[in-house]
Amino acid sequence: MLGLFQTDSGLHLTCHQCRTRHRVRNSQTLKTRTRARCKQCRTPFVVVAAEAEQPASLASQVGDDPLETAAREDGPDTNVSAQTRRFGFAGNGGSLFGISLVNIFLTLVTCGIYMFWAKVRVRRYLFSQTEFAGDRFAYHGTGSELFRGFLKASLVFGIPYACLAMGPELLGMEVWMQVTARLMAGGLFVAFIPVATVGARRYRLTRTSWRGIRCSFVGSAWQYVKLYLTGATLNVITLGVYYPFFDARRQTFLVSHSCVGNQSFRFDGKGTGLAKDFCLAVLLTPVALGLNWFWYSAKRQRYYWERTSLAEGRFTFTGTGGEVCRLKVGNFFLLVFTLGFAWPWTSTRNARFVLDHLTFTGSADLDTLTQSLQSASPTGEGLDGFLDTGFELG
Amino acid sequence: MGFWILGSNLASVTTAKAWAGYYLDGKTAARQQVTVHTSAHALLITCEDGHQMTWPYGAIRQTQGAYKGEPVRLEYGAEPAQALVISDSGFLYTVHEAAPTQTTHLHNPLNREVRVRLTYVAAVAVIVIGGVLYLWGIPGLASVIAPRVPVEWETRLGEAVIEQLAPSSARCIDPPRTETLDRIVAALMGQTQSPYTMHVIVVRDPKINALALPGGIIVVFSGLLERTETPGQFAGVLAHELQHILKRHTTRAIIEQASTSLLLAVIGGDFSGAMAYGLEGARTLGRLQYSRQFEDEADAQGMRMLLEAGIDPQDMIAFYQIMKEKSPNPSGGVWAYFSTHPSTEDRIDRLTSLSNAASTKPATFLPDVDWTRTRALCRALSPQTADPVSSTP
Repeated sequence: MLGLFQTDSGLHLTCHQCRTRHRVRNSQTLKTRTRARCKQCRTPFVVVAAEAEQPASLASQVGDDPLETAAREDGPDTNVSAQTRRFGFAGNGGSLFGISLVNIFLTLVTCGIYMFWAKVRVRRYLFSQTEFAGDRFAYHGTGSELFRGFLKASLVFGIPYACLAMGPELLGMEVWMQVTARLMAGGLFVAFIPVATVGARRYRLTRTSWRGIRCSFVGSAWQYVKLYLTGATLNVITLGVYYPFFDARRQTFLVSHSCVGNQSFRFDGKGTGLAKDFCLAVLLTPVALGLNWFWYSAKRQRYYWERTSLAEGRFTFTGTGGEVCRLKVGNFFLLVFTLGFAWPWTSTRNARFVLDHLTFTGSADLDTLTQSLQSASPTGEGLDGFLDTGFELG
Repeated sequence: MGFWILGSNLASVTTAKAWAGYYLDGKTAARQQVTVHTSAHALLITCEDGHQMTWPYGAIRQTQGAYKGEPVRLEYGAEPAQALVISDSGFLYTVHEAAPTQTTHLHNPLNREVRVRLTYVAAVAVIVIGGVLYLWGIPGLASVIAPRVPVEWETRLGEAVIEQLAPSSARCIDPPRTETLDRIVAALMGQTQSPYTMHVIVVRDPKINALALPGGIIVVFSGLLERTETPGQFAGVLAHELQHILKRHTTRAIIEQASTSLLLAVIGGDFSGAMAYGLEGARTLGRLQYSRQFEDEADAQGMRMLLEAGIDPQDMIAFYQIMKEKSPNPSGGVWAYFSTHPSTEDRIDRLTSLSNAASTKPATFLPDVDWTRTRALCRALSPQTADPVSSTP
């Protein structure tokens, strides 16, 4: 229930879709799970929690719409002012290319070991060039942390995977043993994806700060593994029909467990929101040679960002399918014709595209964000169990 | 300037310029407007409410501000650190002027030129190192490792793909004629010591091609066999393929491809999305380059093998001539870089110069063999239809 606030004249509500202000006609009729729709754009509202102190806590009658659109000439909103804050990206491909040249040199000279430090230098640059509401982000990861994460991941997943996938064949074992080992290797790989996703996300968020406040991720890897494996299985059983729901569930888990300081992100997107578009995209694929997925990708990004909120604010993404198409096709040709050397420019193009189209609107007072102990954890290692040891691969 | 060094912090505060910035305490996201002064030993930060902080230079970490247009960000204290952000990068000059010896760990904009020049040096070094690795390092590594790979691994690899390349149902087997082919292999191998058991499999397939599988199996398509005019010409093809096996080209190719991938992973660092296509392009060009090197080696060593076996080298050249007429391939120019094989013309030229080493013209190879009959291995056995070339113009 976003944009709910109280003024002298009663309870008000702002639709997060069209930003129309509504007055709650009879707040006494509101009760948890009462449903209503925005009169302007039909966006549904649900009363999530009605506290005892609030006047909003009574049953609504069927057919009685509890909302009333506030008159345009409503007096100025003195309590809360919804503010739009922009994201931005100031980096350029040339600087990043310079960084990557030195990185390649040092990586070659150190037989690849420097790769992890190189990654940190690139991220530090990209994060430092990203700004929100006039302040730059900062990346706090270190090369030795990434290196340790890599060693850990190789030990726990890489080496067992290689042994299972190739060992029996090289040793000339029986066919059934080879097949069993292959299957086990496949299982290990599938289980590794969610673990790595959570590990990488936790690591990146805890190493990211804005105005000195660290982000964090509080989801448990084990929960995500369960969610992922169930979803992947359902996806296979339903021949992919389940995919948009699976996608939304993953997004829900990943976003709603992410925090900035003491504030948690919220995500209220549903699989149904994209199911129609997804089916359409699948059906159009043979006709449009797959190019239509750019439009789906843009729609998905818009939907997911719009369903993401933080404190009293909501994100908006305005990128369109045509823009995604131009960006990605351009990047593809840049990379193919330079054998990959154009990647600093494609990276900055990608970053600029996302950040230029992203805004955060709402009455949230960002100054009230406070550092939480969780987010200040310096290493993210050994927090809660073996799976949460902060693997970092990407 | 002795006075200046002896002077107290207060003295230098009064002379140095004040910088506007904001301070983050690491506890909340609230920005506090501050003014910053430099002294000989520390930064002096004054909040709007008059509260003052002293940050000794040695304990300050700079996390941003090394690139043009980036605000200067300094951190101080244990995590979660306090931070000071000053958007005017001119501040850095002042800091370095105020305390040149204590601020060497902070970015100095005066050194940016040096950094740019070092970047150029790195670029040149990358090109040189990459080129050396690509041209000599990777092939060298492969030729060191390949001989140490157990023959059983190669044999198993060959067996794993043989059914796909030469399905049992498509194999042409007729003991008297197949033995003739084995005789040619034996003649070529001569006294050569090798851990492999060489074996020729003829497959019913109109393509003019032959393949060497690791571990000793040579697959010959009937299309190629039927184009050869003499046993000597076929021996030329076999000599080439035998050298692929003896020189372990498949194993070396696998090692070279793996190391190229590794090298590109190091350079590219990222295999996601479109990047993979760009790197795949680089990898393919590398693969083709190495493949052409193998073909050259197999040609040269095959010719040597032919000469040692006392077979007329002109036979091998003659067959390449036939191939050239049957399938002219675009050669020369840029196309040379996009091909797995060197152009047939170049190969003929090279073989001709190699064959000049032969002093005397050798006797006819296997004069007692009815080659017209042998090469029709995949045809019906009746002697009337034995000549495939005349029956399929």
